[in-house]
Amino acid sequence: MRFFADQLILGLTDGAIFALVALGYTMVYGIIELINFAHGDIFTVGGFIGLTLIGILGLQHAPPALLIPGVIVVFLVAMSLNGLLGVAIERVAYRPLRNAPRLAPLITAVGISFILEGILFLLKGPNQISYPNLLPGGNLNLGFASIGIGNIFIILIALGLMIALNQFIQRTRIGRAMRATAQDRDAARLMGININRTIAITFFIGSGLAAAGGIIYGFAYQTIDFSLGFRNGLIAFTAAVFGGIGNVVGAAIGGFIIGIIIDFVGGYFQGGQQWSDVVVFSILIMVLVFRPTGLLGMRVPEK
Amino acid sequence: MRLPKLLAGLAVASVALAACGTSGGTSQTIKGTIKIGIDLPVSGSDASDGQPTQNGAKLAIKLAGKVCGASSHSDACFTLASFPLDDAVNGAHDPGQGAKNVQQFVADSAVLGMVGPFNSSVARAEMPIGNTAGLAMISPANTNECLTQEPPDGHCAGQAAKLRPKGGNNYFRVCTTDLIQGPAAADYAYNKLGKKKVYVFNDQQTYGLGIAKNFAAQFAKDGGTVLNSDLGGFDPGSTNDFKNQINRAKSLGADVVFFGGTTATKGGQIRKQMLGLLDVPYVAGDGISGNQFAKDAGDNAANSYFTVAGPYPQALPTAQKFNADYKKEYSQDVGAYSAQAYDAASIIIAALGRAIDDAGGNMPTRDQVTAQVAKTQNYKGVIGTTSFDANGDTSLKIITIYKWASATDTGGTFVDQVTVS
Repeated sequence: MRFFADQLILGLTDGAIFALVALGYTMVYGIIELINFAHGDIFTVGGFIGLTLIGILGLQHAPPALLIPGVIVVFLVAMSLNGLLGVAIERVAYRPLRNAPRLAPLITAVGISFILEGILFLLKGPNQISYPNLLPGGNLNLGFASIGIGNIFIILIALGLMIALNQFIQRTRIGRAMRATAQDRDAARLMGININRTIAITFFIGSGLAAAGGIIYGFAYQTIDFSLGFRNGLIAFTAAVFGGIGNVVGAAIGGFIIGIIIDFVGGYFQGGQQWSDVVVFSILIMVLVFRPTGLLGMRVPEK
Repeated sequence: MRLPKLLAGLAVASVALAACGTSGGTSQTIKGTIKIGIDLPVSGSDASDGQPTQNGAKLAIKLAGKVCGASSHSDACFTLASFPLDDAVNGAHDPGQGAKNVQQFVADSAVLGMVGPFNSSVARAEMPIGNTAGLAMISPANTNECLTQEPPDGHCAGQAAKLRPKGGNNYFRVCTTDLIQGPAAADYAYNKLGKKKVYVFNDQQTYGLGIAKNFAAQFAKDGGTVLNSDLGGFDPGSTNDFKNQINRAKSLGADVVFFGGTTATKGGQIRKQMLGLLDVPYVAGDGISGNQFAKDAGDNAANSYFTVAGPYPQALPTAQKFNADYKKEYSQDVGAYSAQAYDAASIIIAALGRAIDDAGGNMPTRDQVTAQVAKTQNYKGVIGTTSFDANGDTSLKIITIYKWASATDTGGTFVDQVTVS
């Protein structure tokens, strides 16, 4: 029972990270039907921006009273900077190709992915780089299980961001513009929505969430390296497809489910670490065979 | 690739100049240059293992300067030069890169022997190339037993023969194997640390899986319990997530964790993630002997033990001069495998001297050099007295056990030494 609870919490923690990254994939796909393969590397860049900010602010040695505002500042600044990076990438590599055949922006996305990895390699080197965990340590003992307080924080931060995102999309003018653009870009333009700005905002939010995911990843695993985004990006993309690509709630649920599957398979099976990916992708194939639109289905109508 | 060649060229030039300055008055003639290749991982996470090892080999070649015929042709001399290459790609040792490096050695007719590699997985890629070319290879640090031997239980499945496609042996090592190293670590964990239940991780590479198997077998033989018969294999290239396995180890009641692998295959990350989840000692082989491990493990570096397939150089009377020379040259203390690399290079140089005699005072062939390396008996070096057996293994079977103290520890603290006769 205790082991089950341990793995569940761990799975939710990993799932929170995958979900934050999956949101970026699904939002971009929802609005311009592009699989943004650079998103995994945007996630890594976000983690590195966070690491740099932590170093600049000296948070590793900060007193507890300054730590909380410090961490909030790190998240906000890293998310903003990473958001601007996402906007810049969209402007340079995707917007000029918006009316080109689908394959063209897909290839530029792969190109951006390699460019970002290459730049990170040049700046940060190939090594695993140590990442400080600024979340509170210790365990919360519930009798049947003891839960790492850091894990609770991670799950709460991620859930908070997801709820905020959902409210933003459902309740605000810009959110409505995003939904309208996703439904029918031309009709939205005729209604006076600034399409370019709406798409840029989508990239800003997606990349910002990826930065939050990157920082949380650093806190959880206390390590970061230039190639982190490749595997984690693919798994997050899988989570987005799993939940129904284009569907924000689906991406969040997909992320959590995949996180839990990975840690249960990894923890319970002999040779588990290898089986994790096999089981995750087998389930993905089955879901897609029986429900091609993913668990919750795509909310974007076919054009 | 251009820079190392340039450096090697500069080294040749400076050595040649030095030789000119000192050879006045003797009848020795310099007939050319012989290069000794050095293939080790010297960048990224492997650098803290590979660089001190490369330094040891380079020092031997630099101090020797030249090699002359051992007896009958002592007037025939050749300038010595080291030809170092890096087999790490993106920060971790890479068998493909190792194979390319050996091909580069083979393509250079002046290369008559090589020191390296460091990692057993790299050795598997390199050995067939070296064997086909007849190039003598002496590894300072490969410990996987299947590279040279066919133990009676058959677990190596004839690999040693497959790695020598042309037949004959060109591969030697000055350190002992994981048949000694793995069990030594197991005995230490069971008898000295008093641990009874081990959870094992391994990186599934030649070295990591091999040493994990040998550790587990001996730990069980000692009376301990190996909690996971899968030995905790993972893919070091794709995962940082070890917490689910650590939780599993905790739920099974592990009181010690063994890691089969290297620092570059996430040895430090696993240790770090154990912090607060599973506070038990961590035991590994020589794969975590470089101080990058301590940096990676960070706050949780303490209470981690590692073995080295060789003696403790600081305490060795035969190593005192080497230790001082090394410190003078590189302004730092020797690494875990510096002395082994020094001896490996020195054994090649000694064999070159005998091979020059065999060649009648001319440039020897690679086969002549390899034949002389194979004849190495009772070579008195820095680490002790080395003799090679028919497989290319050393007679010197010593394992040293060290402990990491903290994230800033540079070389670990000596705790025990085991000699197998």
